[in-house]
Amino acid sequence: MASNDTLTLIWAAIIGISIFGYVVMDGFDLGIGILFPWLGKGNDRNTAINTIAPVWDGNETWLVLGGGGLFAAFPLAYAVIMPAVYAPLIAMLLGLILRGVSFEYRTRTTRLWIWDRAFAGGSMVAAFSQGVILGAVLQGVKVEGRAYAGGWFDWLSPFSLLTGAAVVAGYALLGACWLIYRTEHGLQDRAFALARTAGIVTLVGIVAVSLATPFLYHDYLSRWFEPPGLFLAAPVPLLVAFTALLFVRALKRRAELAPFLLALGLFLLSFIGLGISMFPWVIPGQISIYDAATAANSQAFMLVGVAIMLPIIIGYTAYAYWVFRGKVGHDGYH
Amino acid sequence: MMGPSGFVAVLAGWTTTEVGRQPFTIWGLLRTAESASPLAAPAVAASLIAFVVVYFTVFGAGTYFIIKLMDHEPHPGERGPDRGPGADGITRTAGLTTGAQINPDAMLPDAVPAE
Repeated sequence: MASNDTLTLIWAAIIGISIFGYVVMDGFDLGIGILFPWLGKGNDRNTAINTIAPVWDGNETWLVLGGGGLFAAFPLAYAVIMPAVYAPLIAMLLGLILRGVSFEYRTRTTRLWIWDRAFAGGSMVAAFSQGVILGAVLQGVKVEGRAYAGGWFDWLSPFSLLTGAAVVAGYALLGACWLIYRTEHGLQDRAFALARTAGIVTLVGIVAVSLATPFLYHDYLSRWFEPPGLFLAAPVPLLVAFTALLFVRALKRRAELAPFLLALGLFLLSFIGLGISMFPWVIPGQISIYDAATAANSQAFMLVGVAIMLPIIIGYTAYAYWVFRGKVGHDGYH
Repeated sequence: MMGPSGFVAVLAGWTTTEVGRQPFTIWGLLRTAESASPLAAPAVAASLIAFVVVYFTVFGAGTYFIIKLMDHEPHPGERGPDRGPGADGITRTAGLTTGAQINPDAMLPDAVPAE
């Protein structure tokens, strides 16, 4: 059994890395879509698109890996979560479709305003839905036997709307910091101002979600406020405050790369906080990763594939970012 | 006339497989009725309508664009993006570039015609 548990832990780590990889990578390009209404029409928007054009669709690889991995390694969790968050999940897919085609259509259309709105709207819907899905899983799901037993609007709550809004703000922050890093002059000035606003809203979101989470479920409360969980959990809010301070100072001295890395740091700390609340549950209080795991030989078989593919994906992704490094101008994506 | 025949063959084959294996999802093991997700009918209907609306919008716009493209002749000598950094030292990132926009002389400066 011990080796089965190890395999399950490895798979949980792979899913966790995929989800975080997705948030890190697609977060900033969805963020650029969210910020679109606040960017100048014409050159500024074209430049912003050019900073993500070569990488945005590769970034969504991690969504496929996370979803596919969950399906393959934790089929019970997949079977319960998908119906529970059906409406926001479909909304996310439709949002991703609309923003995906907007990349191509907006460069060829004579009615730019339609596709700029589709790009911004699709990005906002996708980001908001992802936050809602996170909140819906975190607040708990009704399970009977081995199936979802709730209604099709159970995901909707003040808490899930809060997590949705927080993710939109967080992605906007990543997008603004990415623009600081990759652009110059007027657009960069704009990005500094947007990063400040988005940073404030994101921190408010992190604080609000962190304060609400322990009261969703008694187990969360004891993990955050009673020993031994307390000792593991206490450094996280302190590190968030420290990172936020560094972020404010980085913006003040107009650092170009530091704000993006620090914003990613805020996401990493939030993700660790999420892990402290949830581990080892997939569905809080109902299904643990060990309950949800598929047969050990299936997990071992798939692990071989991942062990080959994951380094290749990381390799070509790193290469793509390297090729398209540096500051970006406003033409070229015809 | 034979243009759509490939589509017809693919759709017919697919329909045959899906209809032919009923009432099972996994032959002899799992019935279709047992494999359906616990979703309310209005949820499925709403998502179907949403997909229909979005797909018609997106594919409608794409079809309109293709028809517009077919409406005029290609212009010979259309200039594409230049290779490497521009005069201002900034590397232009070209994402997807349609064929007519690639200037072969610019992309392959060393290429010599084979005569």
